[in-house]
Amino acid sequence: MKQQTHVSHSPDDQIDLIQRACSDPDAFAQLYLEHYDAVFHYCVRRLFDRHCAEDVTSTVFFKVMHNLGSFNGSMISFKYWLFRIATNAVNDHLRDLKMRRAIKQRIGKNAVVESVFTIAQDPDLPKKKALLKQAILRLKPMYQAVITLHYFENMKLIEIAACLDKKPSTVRNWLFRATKTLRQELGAAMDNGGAVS
Amino acid sequence: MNDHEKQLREFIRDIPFDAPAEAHRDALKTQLLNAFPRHRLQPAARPVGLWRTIMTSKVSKMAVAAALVVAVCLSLLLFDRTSGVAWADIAQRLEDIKTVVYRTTADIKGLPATPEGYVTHTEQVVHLSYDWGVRIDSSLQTPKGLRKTHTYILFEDGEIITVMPTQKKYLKVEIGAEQMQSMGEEKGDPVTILKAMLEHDYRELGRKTINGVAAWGIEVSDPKLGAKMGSFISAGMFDDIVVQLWVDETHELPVEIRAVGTSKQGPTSMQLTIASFQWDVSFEPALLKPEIPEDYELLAQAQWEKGSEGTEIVEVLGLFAEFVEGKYPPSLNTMTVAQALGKALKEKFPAGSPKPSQELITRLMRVDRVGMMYSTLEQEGKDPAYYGDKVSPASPGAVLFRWKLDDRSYRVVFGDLSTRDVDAQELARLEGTQ
Repeated sequence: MKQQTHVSHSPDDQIDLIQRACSDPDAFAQLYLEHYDAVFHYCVRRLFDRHCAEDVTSTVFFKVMHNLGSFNGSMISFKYWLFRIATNAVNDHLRDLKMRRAIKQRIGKNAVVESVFTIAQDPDLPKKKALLKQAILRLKPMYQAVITLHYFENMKLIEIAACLDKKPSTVRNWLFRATKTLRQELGAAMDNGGAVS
Repeated sequence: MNDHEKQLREFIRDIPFDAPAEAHRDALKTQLLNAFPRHRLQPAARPVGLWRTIMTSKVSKMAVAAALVVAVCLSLLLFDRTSGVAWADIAQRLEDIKTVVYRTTADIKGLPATPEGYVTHTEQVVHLSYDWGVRIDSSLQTPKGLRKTHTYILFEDGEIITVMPTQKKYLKVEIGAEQMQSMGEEKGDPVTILKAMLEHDYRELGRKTINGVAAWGIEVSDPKLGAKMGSFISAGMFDDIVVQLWVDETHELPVEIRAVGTSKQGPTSMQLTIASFQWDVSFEPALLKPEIPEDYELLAQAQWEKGSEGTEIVEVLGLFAEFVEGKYPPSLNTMTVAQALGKALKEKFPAGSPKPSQELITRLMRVDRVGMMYSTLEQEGKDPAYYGDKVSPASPGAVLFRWKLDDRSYRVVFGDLSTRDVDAQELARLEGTQ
């Protein structure tokens, strides 16, 4: 798999790229390629499903393309702006109850399929992943977002706050509650032989 | 990192996720470029601030002026007989404040380790960022001279660090995530003070000019107010507290807070003024990070976890059993406890004697929080009761202190500091015999 090429720019170059991407398709394509992987990774870790993640990633970049003119800030805040759009897109996606049910149904199927590929590493990983999916998807959407941004994207509170446009103190409270709830759900599921109540 | 976080990180470690697919990346790129809005113009230059836009436009400048006149006339018409200060609006406005710098001055009588009747003058400059943390630069005029400390409350790290530059020492308190969350909700800052005051019965004080600023004040005299005041006037620090808050009528932001605290059964009192507010002032985040030189000694390190309040109070009472022969503090407000213990420690460690051990200092650090811990038990419905005014080590079977563990049981601490968990019926019997 060809990986995204990270091009090193100066901050001024990056801001220039964003400004040009509003009207120059080539510049937009460059900006898109630089951020595709990050958005996909975030979506797949929120949704636990490649196809859903690709759908939402598409939605995110169409939104970016149509709203880039309203973006005003630095390259660092562009990343947070992007994650904010991605968070809203994932949350919208999850709000569709039908879609949520479909994800839950796929969880079981995927767990079996993935075990074929991962059994050589750790036979418990697919089971753990399935448990994690079930437990995370039971959280409120914003709790899911802070969990993914903190534990998988390794963002600090201040960065998560920038992504979600919330105060760090609010994020801290969400993260604390979400972590505690998730940990308890996982603990109960493990004690229960792998079934989330 | 708390236990939940550690366990969760361990759980998710190595869990694989799908990698991005080149095919989708390329297909989406094509779709995006096909739909690219080619008519779009270059983005405008950075938007000018709203205020600047308004004030540089002649038309809108006049509109703003007119709106202000209308607003002033309306307020005079509608609120002429009152302060015209919408307190709830001020609380809401303060919610949006990101930073504040202010100065506190306090005269405290009866501070531990000071001569009887001595009034300690202290000044603090507080830099507070609601996102990052707090820095408090304090100077304390003691009988032995001026003592300076710098205290940092680091929200993200969950730590309180106090640096004493003259002594080249520092103290550290690690705060549990749950406790830090609780502190975040009860910050002890001007915003919390205002909100706490509005939750109690307050009386309007009328107008007063403070440093040339027309201000309107309210006053609250409810002993429970201290529960949310933090800092000097934190929960359980004094038995009685009267707080006045003065708000600038023009800008509707606090200009001065005055508080008087007294304790019933101890010669302690305090007069506090918080003023010189600078709202939403910008300062470097580095200001809120302690820089501790390598040659500074960690004097003591303590932990502060939520849920251990009752046990920690018992440990403070253990200090009395050890150092104050024959009696316990008459009440569990911090100043009374600190005053009584300070006197005993001064006798135990006279000038020239070996300094207290790190372990003892760590234990003593709990005294600062004893009143707050008792208040927490009250606030959380744990039904605490303390009988130090009538129970001493000489009455080993009498109930000295108790709090509720759960719906069915209480933990009872007796005069000899032994403990027993009993049900409500047994507690009533034990307390009925006192």
